[in-house]
Amino acid sequence: MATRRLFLQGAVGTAALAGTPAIGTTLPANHSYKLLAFIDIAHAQGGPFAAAAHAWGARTVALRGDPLALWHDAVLTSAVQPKAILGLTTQGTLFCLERLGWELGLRVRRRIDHLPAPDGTWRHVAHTDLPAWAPGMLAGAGSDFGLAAASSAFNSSGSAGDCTHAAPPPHPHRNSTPLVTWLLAAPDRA
Amino acid sequence: MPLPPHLSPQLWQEALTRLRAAVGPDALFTADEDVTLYRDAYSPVWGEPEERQASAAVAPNSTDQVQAVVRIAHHFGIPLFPIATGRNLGYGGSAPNLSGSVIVDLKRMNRIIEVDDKRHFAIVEPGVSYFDLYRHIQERGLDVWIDVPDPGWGSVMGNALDHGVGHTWSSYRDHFGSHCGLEVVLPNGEVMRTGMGAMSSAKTSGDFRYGFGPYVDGLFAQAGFGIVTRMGIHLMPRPECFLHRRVLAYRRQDIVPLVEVANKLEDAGLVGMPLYESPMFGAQFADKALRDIATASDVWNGNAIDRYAAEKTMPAWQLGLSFYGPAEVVEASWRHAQAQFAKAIPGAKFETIETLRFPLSPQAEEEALHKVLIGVPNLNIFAIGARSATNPEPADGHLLFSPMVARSGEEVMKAQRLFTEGMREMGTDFPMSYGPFTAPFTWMPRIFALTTGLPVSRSDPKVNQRSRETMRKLIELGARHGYGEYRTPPLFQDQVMGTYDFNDNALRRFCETLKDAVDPKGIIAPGRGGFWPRAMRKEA
Repeated sequence: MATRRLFLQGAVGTAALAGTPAIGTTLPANHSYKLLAFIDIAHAQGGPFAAAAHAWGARTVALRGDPLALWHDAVLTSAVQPKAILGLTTQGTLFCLERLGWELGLRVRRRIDHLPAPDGTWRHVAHTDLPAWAPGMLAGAGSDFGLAAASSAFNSSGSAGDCTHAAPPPHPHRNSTPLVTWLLAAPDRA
Repeated sequence: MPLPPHLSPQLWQEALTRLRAAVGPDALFTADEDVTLYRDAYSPVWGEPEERQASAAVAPNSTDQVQAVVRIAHHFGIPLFPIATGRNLGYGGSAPNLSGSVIVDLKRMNRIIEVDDKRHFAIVEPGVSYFDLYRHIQERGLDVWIDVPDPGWGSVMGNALDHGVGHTWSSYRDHFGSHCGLEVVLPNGEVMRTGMGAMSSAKTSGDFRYGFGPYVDGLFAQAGFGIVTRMGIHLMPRPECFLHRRVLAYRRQDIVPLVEVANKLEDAGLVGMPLYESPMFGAQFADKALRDIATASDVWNGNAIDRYAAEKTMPAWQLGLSFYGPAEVVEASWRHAQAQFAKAIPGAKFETIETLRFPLSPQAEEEALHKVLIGVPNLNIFAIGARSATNPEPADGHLLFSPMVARSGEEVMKAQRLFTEGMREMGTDFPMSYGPFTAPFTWMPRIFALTTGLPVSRSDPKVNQRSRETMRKLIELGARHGYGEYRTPPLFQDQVMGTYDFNDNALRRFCETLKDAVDPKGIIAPGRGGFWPRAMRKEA
């Protein structure tokens, strides 16, 4: 079973971007982070994702399935409300976070579902336009797509839409867990 | 978004101006991108003309502001639909019964007024979630527990008013049953308090629920007679110890004595919520031979199941038992329970699942196996709907069909067969729904819910159409045999209320009479509970 320590070690070992990911489940009382990343520590892709998020200045928060307590600690009782929250989680976790984010005026602005096939390959389904380089980077990463997913989520050159209420794409394979990269942020106002 | 019914655009703008003045510009939501957030994420009519959508949303932060909103709505004839946190997924979410209603979003009213850990009650506003209350208690080291539903992100008050349920003692897991006193804004904007709260000088509104005279609290649950702005709720004293134990029974007919003994133990106050399961439910999706047994027409005599159970040493039923209290008491209760089950069910076996002593460390709490049994709010329930070997194609959500079945093994087997064969006759194949391994839920005290979920989709209307049709047929089928639903999404509330048909639907006609007297213009949640004011009734 993955532990936070193993996760952290994995993140350091596989990080392609510089910097040590500061991953933890608690935050300093008056932290000044305005960008948060929620990463499900049960999945190998989380390490590189965390490293990339950290390099981009995000506070990284590890979760193991249930996001309720972490949402309370990292978001609701935080002295500084995050402007954007991104993550690599299961689809079920995003379902919960999407609804929790509503109450802060956040929407799902970017969503990429990662669908595993029995042969070990992954298919990536984006719900909004991605940067031109992203599909190739994701496809070329094989199962190690954590960094490519984080880069796709962070990169602002692709347009971000509103994927709130988006239906997960069909996925026929039993015994496999799709993941999803997402970005929660305030909507564009006219 | 739709406008409120029968309101001109000019009057609508005037009403919005007054609502904005009442709650402030940041607490009135009229942009489509905001109002669509109140759609029911599990709607079975997603994107179709029948989907009920709000016209706007308003978020008052005090009882005074709720009164102002109600008075404005009353003046303009605008229907309101109050929500606490809007998490009623599977039973309608935050969407109204009537399209064009204004959502009254009470999440900003999130004050915990009082928690008394000597008299064991709390008084909360609508926006207080189970998690908020849990954290409040934990941070202050208070000596009380809350009872939480699956999932634990909803409102303590909202869940009670939807007749929501939990997982511990019978005294606490009926959440409306454990409430004590309400503060309500009536359709004319007046504030009323019930129970001892009706006496200005009383300090016992969290202790004694009746006060004097008629007990009217039930009118504010699953109904639109007012907007509840404060509620008391009884809490459980924190126990010293928790035991989770399991009884294994290897014959299909063993469900009969299993239920009889569990009823006796629970009604005598010796155990918390009995947790019935059949290990064969999941196993049938991994073993074709068992699935063939489950779908054979002669499965109901139990012979094939009993043979399979004996051959595989797999229980036909298992029953989880929760014990709360001092260590020596709960251990003695468990010994007593084992003796009762062993006497009633030859060959029964027993398992130890979990033993906890309180208070728990944060790590022990995180590692607890079944957090809702010990009052820890969480969202683990959403993992159950996730993709798995037994659920390879999870839906975007579900409709919940919850018929109430008498608390006996015979009745469980009868209802299993009725709904399984009924769905087969409907030509509907939802293998996860009903079959001979469907176990009863015991959330609501003294009754079983044979609840199942029907899939809904946000991308395939055909899925929704099939589930809607199945739901309507199941409601009708259940009612013909005396299995009434206790809770249902707005789309089905008229039908379900219609099944409570004694004496020409006297219950609905009485509710309509009250609605016509208290809220003739249909300002508060018209249609909620399956009854309408005269002007909106279909025959009018």
